[in-house]
Amino acid sequence: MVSQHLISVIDDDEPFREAMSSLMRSLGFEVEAFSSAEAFLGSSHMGTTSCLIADVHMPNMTGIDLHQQLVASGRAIPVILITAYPDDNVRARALAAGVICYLNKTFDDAALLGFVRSALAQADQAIKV
Amino acid sequence: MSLPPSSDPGADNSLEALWERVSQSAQGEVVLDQLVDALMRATIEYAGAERGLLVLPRREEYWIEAEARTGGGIVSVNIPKSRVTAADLPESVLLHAVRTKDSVVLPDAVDAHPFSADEYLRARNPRSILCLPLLKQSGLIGIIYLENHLTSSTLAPARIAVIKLLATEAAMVLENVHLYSDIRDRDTKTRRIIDSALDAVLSIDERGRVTEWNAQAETMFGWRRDEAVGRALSELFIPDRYRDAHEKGLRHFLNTGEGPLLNRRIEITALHRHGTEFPVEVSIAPYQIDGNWEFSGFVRDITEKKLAEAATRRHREIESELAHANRAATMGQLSASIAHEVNQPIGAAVTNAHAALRWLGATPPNVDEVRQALTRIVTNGNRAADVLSRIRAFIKKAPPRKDGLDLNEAVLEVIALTRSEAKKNKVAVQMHLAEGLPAVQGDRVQLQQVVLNLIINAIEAMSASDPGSRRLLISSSQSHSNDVSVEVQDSGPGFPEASAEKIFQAFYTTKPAGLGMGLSICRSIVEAHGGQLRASVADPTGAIFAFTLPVRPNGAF
Repeated sequence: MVSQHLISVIDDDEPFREAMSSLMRSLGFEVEAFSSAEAFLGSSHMGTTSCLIADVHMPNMTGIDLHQQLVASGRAIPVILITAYPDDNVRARALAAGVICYLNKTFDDAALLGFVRSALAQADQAIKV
Repeated sequence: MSLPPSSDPGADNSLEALWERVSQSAQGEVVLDQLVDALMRATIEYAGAERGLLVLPRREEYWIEAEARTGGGIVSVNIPKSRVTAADLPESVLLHAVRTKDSVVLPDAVDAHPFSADEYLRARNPRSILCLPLLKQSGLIGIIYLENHLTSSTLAPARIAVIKLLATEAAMVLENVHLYSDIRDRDTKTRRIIDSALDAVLSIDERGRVTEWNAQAETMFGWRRDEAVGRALSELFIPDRYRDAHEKGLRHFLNTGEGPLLNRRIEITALHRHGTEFPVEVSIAPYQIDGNWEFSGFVRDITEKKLAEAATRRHREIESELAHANRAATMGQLSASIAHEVNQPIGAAVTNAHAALRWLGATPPNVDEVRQALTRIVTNGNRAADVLSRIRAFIKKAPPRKDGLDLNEAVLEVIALTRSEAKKNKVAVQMHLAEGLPAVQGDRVQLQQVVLNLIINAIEAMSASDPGSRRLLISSSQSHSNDVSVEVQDSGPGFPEASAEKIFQAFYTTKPAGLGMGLSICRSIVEAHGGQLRASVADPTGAIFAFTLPVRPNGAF
């Protein structure tokens, strides 16, 4: 599968960042990795990112904070949240706020791929609109 | 005492009756004063002297044992027992007699003689004097001094010899009596010491029979001295089941000279007359009298000591149980962040595995990417295992150990354990760990528990603060007095200055779900390490918990 879509992975945990980057590359995507939400927001890749895979628990700005900020600033980048410690309340809030999904870090990769595809479809649609 | 030899040519028959009186009064119950009285009367009458003194040496000094005077045909004797002075007799004469052990006879002191300068002789001016040293095997045991103011002496040398003999015998009796009374005094003194001893003191002979039994032994075992002396020790306070061993031990010592339990403190069970058993500490020492063995024993009732030991042991057990429970509870509190910490590497491993499978399924398979992903899985797996073993080591109920301990390293491990908890609570953690801290002697797990409790408390204390202001500062330092201290400071609301001590009390808590044991356990752990744990209010806000630990001199552990 060859795609021109850029997927940005944001996680303060380096081993997970590496693993997720590798998985996304194996699926044929271009990947950029960032160790914090701030690093992503300050990078030149923000404008070209089609899908964000972000950790929920990060110091200073969490994945949820990041999503809210993107929504508030009108940049509708689809966000997939992942967490090492799933919490039902957080999940409900995040989904209500409009994230694509809220996944445990031990996820099913077929499910992830499905969410990535729908995120990309959403991104493509946003571009068309 | 024997009679003077009848073959003595100077022996006067009338002396025999006189001697009888002296010797009789020395018989039986020794009444010293009667003897002295009789001796002085006999001597002064026999010598025809007006005044006579019996002087005895006592510890480098001369004492007047008795003084006799004749006046109006009556002899009076008094027993002043005072030190000799220049007013009592001519000292130069006395000293001469003492030094030369020769008699000084001045039949007519009016004549010129070597002692004419003597103060006493010049003042009193006696007509005749006689000073007789009393000797026993050439040792001086006393002096007889006689004087006459009216007439010059008519004493024949034979009479002097008789007086000397008589007085010497009497002085010997006196000496023996003094020795006897010295021994009696010493015996009384020893008896008093033994009776006032806090331990039971006793002795037994070779057959195991009691020969000595002090007042404490009476109280301790319930047998009076008169009941105990002469009875077998094994019947008095050795429980039935140990009697054989006791008797065997005694026989073994007498046969071989071996006594592994002798001359050291041993703990045994003793039996009171009423049948109750109690623990005692005993030391037994053998000694020989006239070729026969005797054994002295000092016995101390250690019932209270044993009870105190058991109480201390129980107290330590409870403390250790509590500490363990507290540790487990604290870790329970951390379970959410621990789950996160373990989930993190597991999530990475699962993701890497997915990636590896995808790389493997590509056409052609990307072996290099597969290898990299697998390598990362190994690392992720090990990381998860490390987290778990750290937790297990911490919760494990290990006996306290006193090791040389790098406090910074121990603190860093706890910080690692609480990193995700701090992160979850949006607490910024800062560290100021002093470099080159000396090692402290202590139990790693226990001290880490203290640090863990303080950090968790600090994180909780800031839960109501503005997330941007939650700061946790952990620092270590070495004070001028060579103590090492660790400080945990938070930026929470702090506590009222007045409750700085109250917060360490057991069951004191400000948390809705708290048991109030954490800080109290922390304090007892720190104090058990010889240190101190204190709380203070931070500026501008927050609390500081600091503990100090003493540093042992180099090489002390």
